[in-house]
Formats: sequence, C-alpha cells, structure tokens
Amino acid sequence: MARVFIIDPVCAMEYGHSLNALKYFADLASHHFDEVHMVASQHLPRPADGSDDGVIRFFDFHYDYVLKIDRAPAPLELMHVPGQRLSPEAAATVEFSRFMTAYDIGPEDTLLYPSIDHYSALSLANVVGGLHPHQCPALLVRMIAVMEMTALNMTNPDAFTVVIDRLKGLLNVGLPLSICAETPTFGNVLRQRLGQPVHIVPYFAPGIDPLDIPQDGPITFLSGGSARPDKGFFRLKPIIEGVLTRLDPSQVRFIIQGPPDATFAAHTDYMRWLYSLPNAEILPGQVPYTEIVRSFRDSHVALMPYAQDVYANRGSAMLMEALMFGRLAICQAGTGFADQARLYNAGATCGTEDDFADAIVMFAQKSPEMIREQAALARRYYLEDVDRSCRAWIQAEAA
Amino acid sequence: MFSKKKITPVLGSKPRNTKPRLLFVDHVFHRKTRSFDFLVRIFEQGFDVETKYVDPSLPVDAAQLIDDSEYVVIGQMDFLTPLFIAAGKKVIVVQMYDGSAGLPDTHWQMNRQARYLNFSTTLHGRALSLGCDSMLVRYFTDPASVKPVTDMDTLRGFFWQRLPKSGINLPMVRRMMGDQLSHLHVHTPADDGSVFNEADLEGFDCPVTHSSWFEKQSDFAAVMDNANVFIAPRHAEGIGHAFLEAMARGMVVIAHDLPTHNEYIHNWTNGILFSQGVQSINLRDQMDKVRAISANARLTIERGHKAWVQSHPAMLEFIRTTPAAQMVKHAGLSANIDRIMAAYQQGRDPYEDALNRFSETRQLMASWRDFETEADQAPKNAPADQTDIHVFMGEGNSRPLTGSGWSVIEATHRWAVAQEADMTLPLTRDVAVTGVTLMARALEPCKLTVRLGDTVITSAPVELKETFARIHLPLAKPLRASASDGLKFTLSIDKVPAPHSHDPRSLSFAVKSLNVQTG
Repeated sequence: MARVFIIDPVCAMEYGHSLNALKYFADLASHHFDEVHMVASQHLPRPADGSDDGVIRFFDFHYDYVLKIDRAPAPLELMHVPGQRLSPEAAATVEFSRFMTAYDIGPEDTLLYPSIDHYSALSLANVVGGLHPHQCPALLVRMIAVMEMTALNMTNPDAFTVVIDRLKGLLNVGLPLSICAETPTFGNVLRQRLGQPVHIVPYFAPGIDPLDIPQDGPITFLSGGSARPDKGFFRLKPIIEGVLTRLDPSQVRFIIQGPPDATFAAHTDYMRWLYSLPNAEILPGQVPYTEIVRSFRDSHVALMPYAQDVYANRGSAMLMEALMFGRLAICQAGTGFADQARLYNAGATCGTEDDFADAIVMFAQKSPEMIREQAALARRYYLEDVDRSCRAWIQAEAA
Repeated sequence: MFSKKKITPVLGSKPRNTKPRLLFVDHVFHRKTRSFDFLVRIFEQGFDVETKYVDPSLPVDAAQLIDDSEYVVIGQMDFLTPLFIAAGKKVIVVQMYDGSAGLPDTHWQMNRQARYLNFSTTLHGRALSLGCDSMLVRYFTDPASVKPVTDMDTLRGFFWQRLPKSGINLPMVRRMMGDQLSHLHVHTPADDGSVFNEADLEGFDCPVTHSSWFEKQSDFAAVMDNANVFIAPRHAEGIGHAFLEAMARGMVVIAHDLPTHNEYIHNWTNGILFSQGVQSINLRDQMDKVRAISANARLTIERGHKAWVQSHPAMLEFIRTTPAAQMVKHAGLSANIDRIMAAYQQGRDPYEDALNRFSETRQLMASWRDFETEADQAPKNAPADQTDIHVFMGEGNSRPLTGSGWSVIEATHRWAVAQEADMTLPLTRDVAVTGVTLMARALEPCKLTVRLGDTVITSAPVELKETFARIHLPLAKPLRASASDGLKFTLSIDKVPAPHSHDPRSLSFAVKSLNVQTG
C-alpha cells in the first residue's frame, strides 16, 4: 500500500498559508497514493467545532525566537530526554525518529514537505542519512526560501548553506530525494547549489474564486498584508507622492493596510500622512479574512513594492491570492515572484518608487474591463502552471 | 457642579429597559454647543443613554455622578476617569486632541483599565504607546447636509475669530491673504473673552462683513454658502466640525498644521496647512490648483463619511466589550483619587505633580490584577501616604524596574532565567517595610530565599510549587529603606530545575506580583 505523509512541523496556526498548503498537497497526492496523511505541529489548534480535520499533530515547534504561537501542553512522550536540555536540531531529530517509528515508515512510503524548515531538513538528514537507499522512504522536499534559512544563532545565508550541505549529502549517497522550489529564481539557485535539476511548483491558494471587478470609480490599488518595511510599507509615501504629481486624486484610489496596534505608535507621523490622503482607505493592522476579501473586491491591482534583497528568491502569497481573486499586481523587480508575475503577464514589475508611480499611472488610465481581461488570462496561465508542475513533481516520484 | 439631562432617543424603537445603561459624562460647555449630540445618537443605538454635564472648574461630587449605569463614557472630561475605574464601571473615554494632548503620560498609565475612543490619529498612537486599548474613529460631516461650493471664480473668505489672543486673528488673516479676497465675512464672538475691536476690520482690500450672533442655523449657513475659503480659527481641534463642514462644502480650508487639521488635510491637495508666522499664501495665481483643492476636499468628505457611518457598529462593539474595572478596596485610595482630580482642576503642572506624588495610587490602578486579597488587609485608618507598594511583573507594568536575571516579559508574569534574579524598586519616600507578599512559582518544586538589601527576609527557605501561589513573608522587625537607595530584592532558589517541558528556554522560577507592606 502506497502511503504519503504531507509534513509541515511549522504548521502551528490555523490561519496563514501552512495549513492551506498541507491540505492542497494532500488533495493532490490523493490521486496518486492509497493513503494520505497530513502531519503538523502538535500545537496546531483543533477546529473550534470539535470536528476532526484529519491532521496528525505530532512535532514540536522550534522557532519561538521568530514566531509567536499559542503552545499546547506537550505530551510526555515528546519531552525529549528528561533532565537534559537539547538543541533545536537534536530535539527535532529525536521527534523525527519517533515519528518514523510511530508510523512505521518504510521504503514504500513517501514523505512530502510542502515547505521544509531548517530543523526539519536537518532532522531528516540525521535520521534517513544512515539508511541504505532501498530502506529509505521517497522524499519530496519543496523549498520556498523562508524557514529553511531560519535557524537559532545563525545568519540566513549560513543556515541555508547548512541545509543545502545536508541535502546534498543525502543525494550523494543515492537516497530517493526530489527537490522542488517555489519560484524559478530560487530553482536556479538550488540547481546550482545542489548540482542537479529541481522542479518548480508555485505557491497555490486553493478555494479562491475570482471576484467581480469594480466598474465604478477610479482604478484602486491595494497594499494589503503586514505593514512591514520588507513589504514596502514605507515606500508607499514616495510612490503615492509621485502619483499625485501626475494624477488628480479623483483619478486613482488606494486601500492600505496599516500596522498593528503594537507598532502603530512608532509610525504615528507616517500614519497621519496616510490618513490625510483624500483618496486612500486605511485598514486596521489586523483584519478578519472577510475584510481581506472585501479589500480585494474593492480593488483592481495589488501593489507590492517589497524589499528586493529579502524577496530575491521568494514567492509571494499576496501575488497568488491577487491572481486567484482575479486581480493584477505591480511587483518589485528582482524578486522571486516578479519572475512569476512576468511569466503569467500578471501586471508590471518595477525597480524604483518612480517606476511604481509610473506603473500606477499607467494602470489608472486603463478601463476596469481591460484589467479584468488581463487578470483573467493571468489567472488561467497561473492555474495551468500550478496544476502541471505540481502533478509533474508528485507523479514523477509516485511512479 | 453638575446637571443632567435625559436625551430623548432618536431611534427609540425598542423599550428602553432592554438596553444596558450608559452614563455619558460631558463638559457643561457642550450643553450649549451640542458638540457630542452626534455621538450620543450613535450610543443610543445600543444603549440606554443618560447624559450628565460636568463643570470641570467646580469640585467633583462623586456621589451624584456615580449611578447604577453599567457603562460610563467620558467625553473630554478625562480627569474623571479614575473615579469611575475605582467604582468598577466599564469605562470608555472619548478623547480629543485639543483637550487631551497636553496630559502627562502618567495619566494614561494610571487609567489603563479604561478604553479609549480616539478622534485623533496622533492621540490614538500615544494611547497605544502607553499601553492603553484604543480605537481610532474618524468623523466626517454628511456631505448631503451642506450646499457645495459652485463658484470658484473669486475668493470669498469666512473667518470666525474665536481666539484672537492665540495669534490666529484678523491681522494674521490680513497678512496671509493680502488683497486676494473679494469678500470676507468675520464672525466675532471670542472664546477667550477678548472684546472685538472694529478697527481690526480695517486694512482689507475687499468688503468685510461681520456678525456676532446667528439667530438661526440657516443664517450661519447663508454666510457659509457665500464663501469658498475657510480660515480655521484654532491651532488645533478636537474633531473640527467646522472645518470638516467647510471641506464638505468644497471650501478651501486654510488651517494651522496641527491635529486634527493635519490628519484630514493633505497639504495643497485637499486643503492648505500653515505654520505660525506665515506671511502669505498665494491662491490667486494658481486658481486651477485652488479648484482642485476644492474638489478634493469634497471628495475626502464624501469617501470619509461612508467609512464613518460603517464604523458605528464597531464603535458600539468596542464599548459593549469593555471589561468592568477591577479595583481593590484600599485605605486611602479614594481620598488620593480625589486629590489627583482636584489637582487637575488647578492646572496641568499640579496634575502631573499629583500623579507623581501619589505614585502608589497610580500604580495600584494600573496594575490591579494580582491584588485581590492583600488590599483587604490594609488597616482601616491608614494614613494616605502609607499605602503598600504593589508591583505587577507582567505586561502592562508601568513601574520602572531595574534588575537582572529576568527573561522577557510575559502577559501576567516574568521568569527568572537562572538560580538568582534581583530587582530594585524606586521609592518616592523613605519607608519601613513590615512584610512582603509574592505570587510566585517554579518550573519544578524548589526552595526560595528572598533578600531585601543584605537582609534575608525568609526565616527559612520557602517552598516554591509548580503553580502560582501566594507567599507571605512578615518581618519580625521593620526594615528601613531610603528613597535614594530604593528597595532591592534578591530572589534565589536552591537548584536550577531540569527542563522537562516543551519550552526550550532557560527558565527557573516566575514572579507575578510583589506587594511590599510598609508601616
């Protein structure tokens, strides 16, 4: 019987992208395997209605220094070695060994990581590295240039190098390991570092239908998500100032998500400036999903002036959600997701704030119908690409 | 010192007794200006509202102010907040920049149990930065209620000289506008008691009309209908109904660059901001820009008004979910609150001095969560300055602590990272410590020793459990501590617990609160 375990030990929150990705890959894998299991963090909250969501809660969480989660009490069997404090790598390794034993993982099984994290990669290498290839389960590892590079007491490049070296070690001894990247840019990086081709499987936001595009009023640009420097929140001022030198405020509109309460006070002057704009709607820092949908419904184009260095290899959930909702995007050039935007003809890519202002002016002069048509085509290209690449990866390994 | 008036509900479709009762405490001045009526009408959609007007220059009569209302909304009478917190009410303060911006930080720190409805972005940020729960609401005039400006061929000004002594007065308008206006209407009643000087009307190169009283609202509207430039009369505003109405009309608003003006006006886009000392503002040579400002002002209000109306349910929910304040019954507390409120009435500096002087009272109100039982034991007739010292170790602690050996702050407590940790509490006076009470736990059972200065105050090591427990340490002989040295506590345990939970951090024991009894 062919079993596949879709594993994400960092999936510890009921919101965000991890749980969606787990379910999406589980659904896709169900076409190729007899049994599909989803395995997440033991801290993943259970559904409020008491229903069984089918997710096995197993792994501990080792990223408290970057991510705050609501921890569940730890079951005794996961408390590592009593009386001994373990490093995150050692703890993750103990957990992964226990997982392999608990589920009697063997060479007929497949382990699929939708977005592997640093300590999962290390623990995987530590445990399966000692196996003979014919004893080892098939390993499908997807990398998105986020949590692989996040390690305690290590810089991102160093942490990434450690992961690459360990995975290379597995490949060198002939273990059945298949790597895929979220973006073509990151795929290139992995190919060069690992010395072998990798698959490309973009981020996918399942279950999102396209929304009708607003026909009345000016073209509206959405700056959603976290109001953080790396997401370009503080580039909005020069961008909007540039737009207002070219267009009248009645010709263009912005919806901007502000910072959460905890950081609002540090940006009061900036927020006062944003609030005084005659053509901007400012959303609170935390909004329910219904409000996120509403903000997409009321807009035409997503604005993504993200930090090029931070997102050099990374994809963006915002871009994919924009595509799924039937919206275009203006993306920072030189990022992993800018290549995808170009591939799907999903909007424009820009370098400087002036370029962003020019692109906004250009889209503001289009009709809503033109934007809708281009977004619908981009959505189709994207869906076809995701479907094709995802099936190709899993099918190749399942075969 | 107060009067009350029952406001008749506008939307009174439900029987009154089905809604929770809400007391709205308003400034007596607003009985005349009706400035908060718009808010009361919103409150009435969810509450049975009674309004009491307070004159802040008169002594506070707490007995008559506090009734059986579950909710208390305080409108621009911020200084009354501790009174209602001490009464255990669900307290919401409506803050205005012009009234609240000058309050010291300690005011917010003391009144964290209240929630804040802020009409100013700037003030909202300040309340948040001081650990308060604040909701930003932005008022916009209904654009349908005013007549839009249609004629922008000439510039016709309106100026209400409310505060001539502030520098925003007719000479400033004359200097700033020069000969650009084709007509100016001046409304003359001054808030600061200044007597209008007709000579100030001279020197303008255009006809100037003036009024001192509008018999009817329509008389005021007629004057505004004839103007297309509005010179805002104050340096800063609470909400700014008048300039927002002017923007709704599409008038070009010229306003001083302070909140709330600069929270609605994007300079030279939908209005014009000036700084004190401005010499001139040139409109006449850029009339296309002036027309754009007019259109953008109207656009701002049209869009903003929709959002304002949509925010009403969230505002009501914010009020409805306000937790009731929790307060200890503590000797001297009520008297100290009275003293703090009385100090407010003497001015800003005496108020800040009082907040500093009664730091224990302030602390007690800010960090109420762990003192349910200790306070009842306070002697009934304790002098006001002999209140105990309370320290809450979790988030929200406003007492400045120095110490070492502690991990990051958590919601209700703080962990020590190793075998020993210390903290020094600042004192505002010399004290004699008669006892200490701790709420503490350890990761696993161990023995705790507590030192105050160099003196061990645990007669024998105390057992710490895995759950928080109250540990009372009476002192056989009072220990004196001076204000210059403060109180230095050192807590140590006999062993560092071995990690046996999922938490990878280095943790040993945790403290929720510390209560120092003084005699």
